[in-house]
Amino acid sequence: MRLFNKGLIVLGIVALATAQGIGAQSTVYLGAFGDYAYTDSPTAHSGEIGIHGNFDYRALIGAAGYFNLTAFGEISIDPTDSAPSDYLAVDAHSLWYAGDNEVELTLGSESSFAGYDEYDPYWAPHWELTYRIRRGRTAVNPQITYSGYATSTHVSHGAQIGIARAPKVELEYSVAAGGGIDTYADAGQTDLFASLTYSVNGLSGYFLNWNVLGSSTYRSSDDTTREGFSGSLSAQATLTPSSTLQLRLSPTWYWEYLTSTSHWDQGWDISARADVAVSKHVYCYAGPSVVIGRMLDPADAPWSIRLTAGVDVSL
Amino acid sequence: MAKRGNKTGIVLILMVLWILAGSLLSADSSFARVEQKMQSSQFSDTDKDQLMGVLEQADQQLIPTEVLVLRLEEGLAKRIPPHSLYNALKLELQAYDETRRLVLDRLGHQEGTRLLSDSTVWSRTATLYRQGVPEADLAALLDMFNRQESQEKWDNYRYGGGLLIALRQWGLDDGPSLSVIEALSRSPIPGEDYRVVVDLFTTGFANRIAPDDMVRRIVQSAPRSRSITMLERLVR
Repeated sequence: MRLFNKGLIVLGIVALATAQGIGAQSTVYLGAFGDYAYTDSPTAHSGEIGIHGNFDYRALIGAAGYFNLTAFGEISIDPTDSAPSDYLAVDAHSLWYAGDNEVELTLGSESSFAGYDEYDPYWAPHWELTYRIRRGRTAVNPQITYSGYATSTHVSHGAQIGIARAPKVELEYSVAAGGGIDTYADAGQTDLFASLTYSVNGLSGYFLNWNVLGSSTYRSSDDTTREGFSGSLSAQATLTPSSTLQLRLSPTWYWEYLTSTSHWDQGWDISARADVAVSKHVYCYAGPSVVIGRMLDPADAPWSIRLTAGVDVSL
Repeated sequence: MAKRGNKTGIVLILMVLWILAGSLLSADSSFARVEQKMQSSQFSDTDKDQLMGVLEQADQQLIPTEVLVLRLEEGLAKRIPPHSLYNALKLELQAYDETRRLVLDRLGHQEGTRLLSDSTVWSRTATLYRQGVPEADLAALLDMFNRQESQEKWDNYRYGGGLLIALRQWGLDDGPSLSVIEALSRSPIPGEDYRVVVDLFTTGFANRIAPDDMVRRIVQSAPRSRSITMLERLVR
C-alpha cells in the first residue's frame, strides 16, 4: 500500500512536470462552504459545512487531439446530527480529430465512501463514446453517441444520433434522438426508453451567455412508478460584467406522466448565485435555491429553500 | 490589344466617377436630412452653421461623414446642448484625422489606403482611439494584423479591435489584453469568432481560472488552434 502511495506521488510529480514541459494546462482550486436548508412538509431544518477541491488537467495529443482529466471531491458534515458525507467524481476525457472527423471518449466515475445526498456508499462508473463530423460552424454537424453507466444494482446503455449547428457565432443549437435499455439486477427488471433532447446556447453582447436545455423521455417498464413520460426544460443565464463579479440564474421545470396510473406531476427548481473575485485567486459566492415539487397535488406540494455560501481559492 | 486597354480604362474611369458621384450625392442627401432636422430644433443659426461646418470640414478632408451624421442625429434626438454636440463632433473628426495619419505612417500609402477605403475598419480604428487605446497599442494592432496573410485581415483587425475594447472594459490590463489579440492574429481563427474569447474568460471565472492564467493559456494555445471550438477545448 505504501509503495502504491509512493507510486501515486511520483506519478503526480511526473504529470505536473510533463504538464509544464509540454505546455499542458492545469487548474486546482480548494474551497470551504456551508449551507442551510428548510424543507416544508414535513418541516425540517438541515445544514452542511464542508470542504471541496477540484483538479483539472488538459494537454494536446500531438496535433491530433487533446486529453483532459478532472477530479472533484467534497467532504461535508451536517452539524445538526454530525452525519458525514463525501463525494468524488473523476473523469478522463479525450478527443482525436482527423480532417472533419472527431472521436471523443469519456471514462469516469462517481463515488462516495460514507454516503452522499441521502445515498448509501456507492461507486458508479460511466462511459461515453461519440463520433462527430465537423464541417464548419455554420454547417449541420451530425454526431452519434453511445453512453452508459452502472451502479451496484443497475446498468444502463443508450445511443443517440443528433445534429448541431451554429448559424452565427452568438447562437448554437443541437437536437438529438435516441434510446436505450436499463437493467435492474436486484428487481430482475429491464426498462426500454426513447428520448429526445435539444439545446440552444447563446451570447448576448460580450458579457451575457445563456442556454436552454430540454429533454423528453418515454420509458417502458414493469414498474408502474417508472413507466411513462418524463422531461425537463431548464435555462441558465450568466452575466459576468467584470473580472470580479458573476451573476447566475438557473430555473428548471420538470414534469412526469405515469401511464399506468394516469398520474401527472410537475415541479420547479430555481437557483440564483453571485460570485465575487475578492482577489485574483480568491472567490466568494452565495445564493439561494428554491425547489417546489408535486405541484399538481393540491394536498401536498412540498417546497424547500436552501442558502449556500462559500469561498474558493485557486492555486 | 490597345483597344481592349482603352475600354478597360474607360470602364474604370466611369466606375470611379460613379462611386464619387454616389458618395457626393449620399453625403449631400444626408447633410440635407440633418439640416432639415436642425430646422425643427431650438438651435440658433450660429449653432446650426457651426455644426454643419464640422460635417463640411469632414467632407472636405475626405473623412467618412456617415458616423458624424449619425452622432449629430443622435444628439438632436437626445436634445444635447449644441456646444456639447459640437465638441463631440470635433473629437470624432480629430479621431478620424489622427488615425488616418497613424494608419498611413504605420502601413505605408498602399496598404494604408486599402484599410482606409473600408469605412467600417477606419471607424473601428477611430473608435479605439476615442476609447483611449494608446497610439502604441493601435500601432501594434495594425502591425500584427498586417502580418496576416488572409484576405480578410482588415476585417479580422476590426473584430480584434472590438475584442480589445471588450477585454479592457471587462477588467484585463493593457498588456495582457493586447497579448490575447496578438495570439489570435497568429491563428487561423476568423475574426467574427473572436467574440467567443470573452466567454472563455467568463467561463474561466466559474472554473476558478484567474484572468492572467487564462491569458497565458490563450497565448499558448491560440496559434495552434484551427478553430475557436478547438481553442475553447484547450483552455477551459
